[in-house]
Amino acid sequence: MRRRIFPLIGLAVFMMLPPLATWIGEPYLVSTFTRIVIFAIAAVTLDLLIGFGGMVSFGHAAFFGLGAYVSGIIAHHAAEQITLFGLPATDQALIIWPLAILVSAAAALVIGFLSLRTSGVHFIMITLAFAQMLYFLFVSMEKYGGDDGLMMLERNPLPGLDMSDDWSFYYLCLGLLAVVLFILGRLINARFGMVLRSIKQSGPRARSLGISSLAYRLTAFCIAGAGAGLAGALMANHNGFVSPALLHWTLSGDILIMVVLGGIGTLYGPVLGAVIFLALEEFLPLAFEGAGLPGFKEHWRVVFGPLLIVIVLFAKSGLYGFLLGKEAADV
Amino acid sequence: MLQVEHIETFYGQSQALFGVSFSVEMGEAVTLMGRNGMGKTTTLRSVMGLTPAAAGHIRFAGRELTAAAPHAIARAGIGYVPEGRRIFPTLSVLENLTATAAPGRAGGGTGWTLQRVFDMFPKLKERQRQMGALLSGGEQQMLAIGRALMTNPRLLILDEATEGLAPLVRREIWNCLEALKNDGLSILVVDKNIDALARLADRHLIMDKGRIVWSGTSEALEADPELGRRLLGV
Repeated sequence: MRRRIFPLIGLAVFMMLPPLATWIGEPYLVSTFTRIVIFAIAAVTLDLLIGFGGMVSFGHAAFFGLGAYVSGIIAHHAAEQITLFGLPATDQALIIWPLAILVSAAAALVIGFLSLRTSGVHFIMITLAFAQMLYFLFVSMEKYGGDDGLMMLERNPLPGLDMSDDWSFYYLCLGLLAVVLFILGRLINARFGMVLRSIKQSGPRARSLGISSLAYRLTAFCIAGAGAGLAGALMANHNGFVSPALLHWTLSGDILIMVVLGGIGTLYGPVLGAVIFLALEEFLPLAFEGAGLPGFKEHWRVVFGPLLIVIVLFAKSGLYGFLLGKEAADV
Repeated sequence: MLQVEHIETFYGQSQALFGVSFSVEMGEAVTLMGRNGMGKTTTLRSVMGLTPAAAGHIRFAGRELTAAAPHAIARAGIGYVPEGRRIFPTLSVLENLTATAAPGRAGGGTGWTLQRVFDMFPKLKERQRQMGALLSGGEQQMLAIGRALMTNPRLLILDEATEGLAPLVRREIWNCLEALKNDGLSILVVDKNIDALARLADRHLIMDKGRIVWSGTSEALEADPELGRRLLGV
């Protein structure tokens, strides 16, 4: 029962956030909420790998950053009116975003194919290494700003929507999060998801029943990469700016923490994780200031770190498991 | 149908199989017996490619499977029921059966469906929504057999088919294997229950220290009580 109403309540809350921000006189908060929704997309796709496929990827920011850079670079070419690979550049979202998804999925295909030869700690390290390689690749690309990153003049236009309006952009991101959740939910409960979960429980067992575990895990890796690419393209549009920081390993770590915090192996948990993580990041410094301890503002992690440890120790399926109790147990 | 020729298998430095050869013909039930640690499980694991043989050949239905990956071997038409059942614990009974099912694969006889598995094991139907881990040992073994059947195999391999099960459940498993054999499925089975094996199977192989040291029919097996004492420890 609680499992049924959780997503509905979640959706209602997300729908109410912009009016709420205006009502309390802090309209800038819509921007924070948009960040939360975008990171939620990245986190739920990472959980497909960790929670359902048993692949602890520590390089999810690679696909996030790639998606962002595809948006940034094409928009840059369009603004400067320079061709890209001999083609005229465009700033249309309907072209750029699918391209960002495709490029991230293609990168995931290559990185996944090489990384999935390993497992456990080696898989963690090799995905981290690939992500850092991409990070330094973009640091060294002077043409696209290198370390300083690349500005985008405006958001990629989408027919029928005023993209410069923060409310519109927020609801667009929210809609895309809902679409991603719907697709993942279908996937997890389809035969594909069963096979993925069976491989997670025992690779040899699944193989001895005729399952090519590499094919299934690689497919999941590409799907997750594609989702992260979409989130990255949205983030580029949200910030109006891309930089190598979007590929940095600390960002992979942040997304991983969102998944752990919200609940590994649950569909909606990572959304909750993104909400809590980014809300604490936003409001803990304010709380310190309000408590008369402005010196602590920079050190909000002093509270956040122990909190994470407590949750990992005591809530089996993260905060989602804490809220749903026994009902969170399966899928 | 299955031909195993002179396979030698190692665990690291230590050799477990010393040139094992045998065959299973179409529609035949063959048993593999022997005391613990004599290489029965290793032989089955080598056939499945889970512990690949370092030397020798394995052919199945005219295909060379010597260096093939486990999933390719399973797809060639071998259903494997591992020792200790090894179901997927956090998948439901229904999911255990359908996740790895291969309805289109050319099997022995008519294709397997959920309905046929449930007809054979009515208990599984009652428990189809339960997690695999919550089943009893006998039900888990039924699930493991059902799961293998859902891949439509031509040869069913069972490692310790009834180990650790209650007598009544054992009888149920043996009856089901007999029905499968009568249906035309080839079976290669490891177990310690000589009486049941003699009734089910056409031929028997006995292993000792990584070699097959005796092979013969059920009559020959029952005619020689000394054999059991010496090689099977019973």
